[in-house]
Amino acid sequence: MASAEGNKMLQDQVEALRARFPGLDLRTRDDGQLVVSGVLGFSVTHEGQTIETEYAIEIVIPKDCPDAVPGVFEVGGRIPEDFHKLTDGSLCLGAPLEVQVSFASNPTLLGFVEYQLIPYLFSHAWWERSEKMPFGEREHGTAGILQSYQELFGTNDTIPTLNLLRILADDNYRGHTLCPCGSGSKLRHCHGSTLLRLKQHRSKQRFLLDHIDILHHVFSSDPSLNLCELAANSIRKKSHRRRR
Amino acid sequence: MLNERERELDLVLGQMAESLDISPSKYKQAVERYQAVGKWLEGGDYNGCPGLPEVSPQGSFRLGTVTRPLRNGKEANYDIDLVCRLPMAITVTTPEALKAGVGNRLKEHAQYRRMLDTEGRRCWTLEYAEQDDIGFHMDVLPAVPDDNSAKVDLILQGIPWQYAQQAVAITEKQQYTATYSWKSGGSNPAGYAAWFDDINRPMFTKVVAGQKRLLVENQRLIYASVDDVPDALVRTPLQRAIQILKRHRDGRFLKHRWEEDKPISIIITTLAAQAYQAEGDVYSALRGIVDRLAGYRLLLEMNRRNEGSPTGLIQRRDGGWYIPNPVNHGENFADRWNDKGSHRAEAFFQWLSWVQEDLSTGTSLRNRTAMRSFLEPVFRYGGSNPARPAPQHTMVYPAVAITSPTKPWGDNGIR
Repeated sequence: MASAEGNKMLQDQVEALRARFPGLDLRTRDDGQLVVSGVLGFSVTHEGQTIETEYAIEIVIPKDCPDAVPGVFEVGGRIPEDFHKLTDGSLCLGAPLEVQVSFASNPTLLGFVEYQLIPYLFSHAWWERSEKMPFGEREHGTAGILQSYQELFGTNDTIPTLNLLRILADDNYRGHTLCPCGSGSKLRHCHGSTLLRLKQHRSKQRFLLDHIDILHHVFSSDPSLNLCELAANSIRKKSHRRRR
Repeated sequence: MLNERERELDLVLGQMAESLDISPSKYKQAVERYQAVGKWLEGGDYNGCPGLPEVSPQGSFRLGTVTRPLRNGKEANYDIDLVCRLPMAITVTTPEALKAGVGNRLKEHAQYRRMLDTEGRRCWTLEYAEQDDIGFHMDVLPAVPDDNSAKVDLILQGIPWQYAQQAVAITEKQQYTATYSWKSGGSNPAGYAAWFDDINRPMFTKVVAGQKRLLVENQRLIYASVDDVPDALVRTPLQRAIQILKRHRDGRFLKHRWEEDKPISIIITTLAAQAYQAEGDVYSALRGIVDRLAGYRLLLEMNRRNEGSPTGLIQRRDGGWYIPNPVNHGENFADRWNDKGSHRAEAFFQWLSWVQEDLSTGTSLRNRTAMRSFLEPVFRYGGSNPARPAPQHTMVYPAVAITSPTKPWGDNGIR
């Protein structure tokens, strides 16, 4: 963000943000980090109830903006440590891949605040009142990562999820092969488009790390599972469908 | 003289206040409950106490301004505040012993032990669940008569003797260190009630006969004759106005960003009683009270310019807000208005404007039905009824529509 061109773009983005949320402004922190901070007030109506509230926040502008998702800290002391936060204390808006995918559809400060940050803050405000999360929440750690892949792939099963993730980790998409979800369709007619879309958002190394984490998580949480058997199961299912 | 629409609105407001009020049967139940507690406390042994404890109501239950509270938008249990005054000198006991003495006596009663909440900073709290689902939340405040030097200080302030002599010392438990201390020279719930009664009495004398007759007619099962009806159930326009103001506050601040900063009941009650000028009906009382208090809005501007205003009902002293307790000018009811980042002063004046607006809208409506359907949502949930144009205060912040939210997660340190 050091270039003049980058600065101009950031200025434009901050201006667009301030037009809608005038309580926020760009400043340089003592450590030299550029941040957008201030009071973010908004009003959201959900299930017929309106919550109008405000949070004191600090958005850290990443150096490789707009490709990287900004980090956000709540500085008013309203969101407790054990709510959804990352280890560094920043707000955890969602599982990393989902956050990236969502950010990519509108990679501006305003888009980020409106479509990612406010839903999170609203979830917190709602939870303060009812101890319920209005849009659900992920389990923390790897279990939540697995859930997020399952939702992206539209399946509740672990093995097909792992098999689809494996394609991303190996970076060997072949559209004409059978989809590993067990549908019996070719990959390009089944989960192909989802895989191609996800592929753009991170490196195969990151997918591989997720794959390993999930494998580790699945087998450590249920040691009675037998990998070979599960894999064989899914293959059997596949060949069965194929014969039909 | 009221014009026709004002007369209609007065009628509607009176009926609404009545529906917010405690019913005669519920009142009877509450009195039985607290008298039973009093009787039980009388049977206790309080080390060194030469006489019987005296248990009496204080706060809105005593003042006749009790309102069914609205908490998180739902009708909640009635609050009944009791003072348990032990007739012993502050010098012969300790705050620990007083607090524990009352608490232990309550715990000796099998039923009260179950109903007792964890120890509060100043009170013991009994939670009554009732058959009809309208329970009570009863705070018992242990106290002893305040020492004479504290009373003399009050006299020197100009507080009349009949109020000052009722001052009590209460105990305070520090949350973290669990140490106890006396809070002396401030509290005087009985003196405050006597002060309020003195303002209320002229109008009370005018309405008492008529109201008691009505109560006997409507509550034949509870009261056989006018003499059976307690004075505590009679309501003057001042008391009705205070009930309406408190509930209007609850409704209007519900889910508002200043909900935490909404005016507290003691401030509303005190200022309303002081601004009241013996209006004979609820509408005129409300109008008069809020119009007179709204004049103090100028102080917001003086606050910005950091100017003082050391007299009047609401004051600016030493760069801060000051609303003196009428029976102890050294106590500032608006203490917390001066907290850093507090919006209490703004919230108070904003609320006065809302009352003024809502009264004006009320009198602009054609008939009683229209007035009722306008006011009911205001009292119930701040007027966010879709039938009603959105009140200005919900539009301060931009409305955001949430379409495809991601679900919050936590990394548990895995990356």
